[in-house]
Amino acid sequence: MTASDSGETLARLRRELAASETPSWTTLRDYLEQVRLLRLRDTERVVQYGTQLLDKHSRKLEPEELWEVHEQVAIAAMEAGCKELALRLVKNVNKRFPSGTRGSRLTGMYFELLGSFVEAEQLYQKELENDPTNAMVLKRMVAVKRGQGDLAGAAELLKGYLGGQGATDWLAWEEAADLYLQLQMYQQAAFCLEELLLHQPADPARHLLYADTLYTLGGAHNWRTARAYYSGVIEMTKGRSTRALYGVCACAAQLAGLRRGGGGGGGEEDGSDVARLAAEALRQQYALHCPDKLPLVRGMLRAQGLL
Amino acid sequence: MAWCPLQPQKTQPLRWEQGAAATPPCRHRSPPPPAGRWTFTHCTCTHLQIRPLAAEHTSSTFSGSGNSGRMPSAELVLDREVRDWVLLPLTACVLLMQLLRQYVAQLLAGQSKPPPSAAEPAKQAAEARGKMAVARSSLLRANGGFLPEPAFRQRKTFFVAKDTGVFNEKVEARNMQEMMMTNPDAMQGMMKQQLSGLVPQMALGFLVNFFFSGFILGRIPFALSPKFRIMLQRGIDLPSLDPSYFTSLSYYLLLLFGLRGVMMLMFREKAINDAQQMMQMQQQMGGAMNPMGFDMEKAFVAERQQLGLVDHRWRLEGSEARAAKVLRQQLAGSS
Repeated sequence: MTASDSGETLARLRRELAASETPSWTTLRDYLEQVRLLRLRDTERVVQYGTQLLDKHSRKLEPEELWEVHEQVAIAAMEAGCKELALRLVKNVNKRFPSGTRGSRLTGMYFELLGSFVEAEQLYQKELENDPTNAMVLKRMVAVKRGQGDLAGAAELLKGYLGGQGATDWLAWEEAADLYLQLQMYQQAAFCLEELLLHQPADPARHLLYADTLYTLGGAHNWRTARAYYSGVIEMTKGRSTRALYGVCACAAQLAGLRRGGGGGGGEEDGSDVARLAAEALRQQYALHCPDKLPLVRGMLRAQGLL
Repeated sequence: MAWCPLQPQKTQPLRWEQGAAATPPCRHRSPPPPAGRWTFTHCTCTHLQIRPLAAEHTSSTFSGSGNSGRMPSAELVLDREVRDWVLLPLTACVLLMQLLRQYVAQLLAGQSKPPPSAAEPAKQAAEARGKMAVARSSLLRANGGFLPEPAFRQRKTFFVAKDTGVFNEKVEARNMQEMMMTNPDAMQGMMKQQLSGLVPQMALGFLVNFFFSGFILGRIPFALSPKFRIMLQRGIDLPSLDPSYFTSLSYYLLLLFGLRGVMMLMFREKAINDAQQMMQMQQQMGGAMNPMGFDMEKAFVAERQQLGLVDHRWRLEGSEARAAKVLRQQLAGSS
């Protein structure tokens, strides 16, 4: 309930901001606060309105909020690639808090933006010497490794974090799954995705990604499990997930190929049923929304033996 | 005649002089006065006139105006020497002692940050890992149905396998004493704090009791009921004395508890605050107790049993049939 409330507030604030040329400072402040609360990623707006707020109204903000806004806008500026703005803000923060983990993190992120990963890493290492269990800095280390292109190193670091203190940090599991997928270590990725499923069992996107991973792993058992998860997504989304429909079809095709090769397994009645229906649904959706590509889909389904 | 506080002139007898003959017999004569530094020059039934021993010191430190009707014209003339030898030294003593405590406390606080021992973080990390394991396993119990059978079994084995499971690991039980022993810093800090508060206070109390007891130092400018006698006239047991006079011992206590504001002026928020210290100490105790609240061994046993009871029931079992039903409905609806 509160989530929807704040969503409405956010929409209202956005409208107000868009409506006036020079929005009042309370609107600006409230908007940034909402973005912080909802952990949204709204880079451009945050940079635009945050700069306005900091340039014109920084005196009106409470000191605590002022520095939070600094951090928020600095990170958004780095995301948007506004190096000068980011540098200015990071300098301000460092002037106010010469020794602090959050300040060093911002500085390190600026180094990362500039591409000087060695300096960033040195900075983080120094922070870690003070507090070897600081999750914020540990995650930045992973990001540095990833930025350098050392995916395996990043995965290794993340594994250490997940094995110890961060075992219930689902964001870290998500990052690890992503890393392993990029490394094509599907077994490990599947493990991370399973952890994510435990954390957020109601999110169809997680089920879908897990099914994709299982399908990629291959093997009759995995294909069957993947088909179950794709079906689960179809059930959850009431058949609106095109990707799940495709997934069911692909699984069915693979299993059918296996059956032909292995000399007939039999007993796959419900499975082939759902695949046939999924193919039908796909064809219907394409006919409805995108008739141009219907022949392509038809061809693919024919190749999969579902038409 | 110079009066020295170190040699109380107890030899000097009190001179009680009877007032006019018309006055009724005084009931205040019966209790013997405790200290021998005052001459009660005049006594009637209702009031005492106390004059200093030496006649030449008649200038009064405090000029008592007429008191309430109950005790009219009770007037004490205090010796100037009392001011010079008791009031000022006592104030200086308390102030200096507070200063000393302040600096000693700062000194101790500055020293009390030794590097933490190597074993402690390892133990804490193990505890954190244990907590995480319990959290993960409860999640597995709650949402395990969303995992396929092999994945569920893999995790269950990880937690509760006979010899290698996380919950079957031997946990070093940490009892209270061990906690205190492993964290001597906290204990030392507490003792230091207590000592640095207690020792000077005891010393000062002894000092004041020895040198400055039994003096009347002044008078507060308003009348008070006799109930305040306990508070203001410590060290003098004189029921007939107006309660608005206060004694040296009471003055000492007042200074002891009332000087914090003055100290705050000098040291800002760094001034030692006894009440705050007490609170900190309690919090420290609480902090030390908190990890005790998490008994890893018990939590592991409970979690092991609960996880052992959980049977895997795959929620996606038969999802194909359900999906087919959904799709069929949709196809039927759209066509």
